[in-house]
Amino acid sequence: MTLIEAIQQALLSVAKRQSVAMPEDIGRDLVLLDSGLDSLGFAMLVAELEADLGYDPFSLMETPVYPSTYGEFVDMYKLYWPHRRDSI
Amino acid sequence: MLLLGDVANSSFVLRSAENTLSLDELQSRRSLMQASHQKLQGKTVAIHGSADHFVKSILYLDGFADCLVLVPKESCSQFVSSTLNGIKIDAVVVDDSVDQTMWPLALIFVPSISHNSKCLLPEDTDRETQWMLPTSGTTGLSKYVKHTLTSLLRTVARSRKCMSYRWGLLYDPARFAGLQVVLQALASGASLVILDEDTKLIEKVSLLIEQRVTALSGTPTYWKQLLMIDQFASLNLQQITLGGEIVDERLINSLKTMFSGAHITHIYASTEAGVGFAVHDGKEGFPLDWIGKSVDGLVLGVSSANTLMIQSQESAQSYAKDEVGIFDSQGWYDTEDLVEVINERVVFRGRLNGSINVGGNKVMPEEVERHIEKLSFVHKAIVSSRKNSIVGNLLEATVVLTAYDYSDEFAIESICDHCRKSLAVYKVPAFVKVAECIPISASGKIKRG
Repeated sequence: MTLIEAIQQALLSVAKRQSVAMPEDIGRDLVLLDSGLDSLGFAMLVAELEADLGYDPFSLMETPVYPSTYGEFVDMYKLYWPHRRDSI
Repeated sequence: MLLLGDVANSSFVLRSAENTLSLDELQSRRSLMQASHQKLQGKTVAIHGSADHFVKSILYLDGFADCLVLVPKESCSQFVSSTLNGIKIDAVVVDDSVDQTMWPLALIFVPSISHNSKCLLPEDTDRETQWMLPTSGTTGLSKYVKHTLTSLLRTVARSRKCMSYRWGLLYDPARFAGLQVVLQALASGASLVILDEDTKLIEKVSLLIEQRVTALSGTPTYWKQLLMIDQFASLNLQQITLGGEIVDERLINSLKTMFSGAHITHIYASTEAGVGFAVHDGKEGFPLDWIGKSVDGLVLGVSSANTLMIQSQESAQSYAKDEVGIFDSQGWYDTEDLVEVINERVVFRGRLNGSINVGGNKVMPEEVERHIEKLSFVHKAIVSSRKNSIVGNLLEATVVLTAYDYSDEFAIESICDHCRKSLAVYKVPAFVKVAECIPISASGKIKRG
């Protein structure tokens, strides 16, 4: 599974648990706070990805930047990809 | 005798979607309101409704009612029957945002008061009003604590610079943190911008920009959400206040980067004791040399259990129901907040009683465990915290199932549904896992994380 697929799968899983209907097309421009996920949902997404991938970019950044769109969110995970768990 | 009307600075302005009112206009409405609702004089009055209604009502009723009971906006009938049970309330002042069926008392609506109304003022209106505020509860259960206006105003800054601020109200003003923002704006003569609570956060940010807000107070979780909104950076913030959760220095750095000209303060406040102090140096925790010294009128100490102790000779807060004092005879109060000294700083490490802070909301794990264990197929549930970079902590439930023939997947799904149906959203475990047995420590106690 690619990184993008892993993120999308985690997003859909959290959305389902939060009873949030995600738009059919999850594009880079999707505004995260407009997606229906609240701060708790966003926190669950970051935790779920940490469990899957072995890293959390928001803990690794010295001065955290918080993404506005889904595209920016994915880019942060790409940037910190070298921190992934070896087994991935 | 300290009255809100006397403390309020004449340059105060209240801005909301409905209207913009100066302190003078609010004071004249206060007189009319008191004249037309004389039966509230000397009574215990609960205030419940929108933030706009709330701010006006405290101004109208302080010094007139004997006691004001502040009721959070999201309160339900269960809150009235349990948390408020035992507090004798004579009347409830509401606006039309309140579900009337939740109150077993006659409600009093405070309609818009016309400037042309003419009523005779009752004589001898001024009296010192007692304020009752709900805490988030050190045990996770909300309790009411009695305060005076003097104690509530202790941490309010009134410098000339503060007068120029335009505060945006992000908190519920019926809670300690929100009331502090309201009192700060009133006493310093700043403006206070009220936002419609039901507005989505992105739209709230547009309103903050439109209203040229320059000062905001919020929990770290709230600030992180605001930082996710592109337009937020265009605000010209001069004052940034954080509180309600452990403040992480990295978040302060993110805020400094975005708002380089802003003054950043993080507040440590015990809503229980109605006291707090502010840290302005942009670092997490507070300097070690504050221990044993007087800070904002308080003396700080650390107990043998490594909890923060606060001494205040002026504080006489007590719980509303049983009149039990919160401070001991020497004026000390154990906050039960665990602290640790790192590099000459005293930093916070969570709660002694094991309550978990999820995005500013305290959760007692035992409450969630008991709730999950109501399900017939759950033998035992343990709820622990999982550290999270967005909301501080998330809840994780580990369950042992009874011998019933349920698949783990079905059990997890049912537990989540069961929690979602009757628990507040922050009390619903974000993760549920099934285990063969519950981890026990060497001393035989249950291990929570």
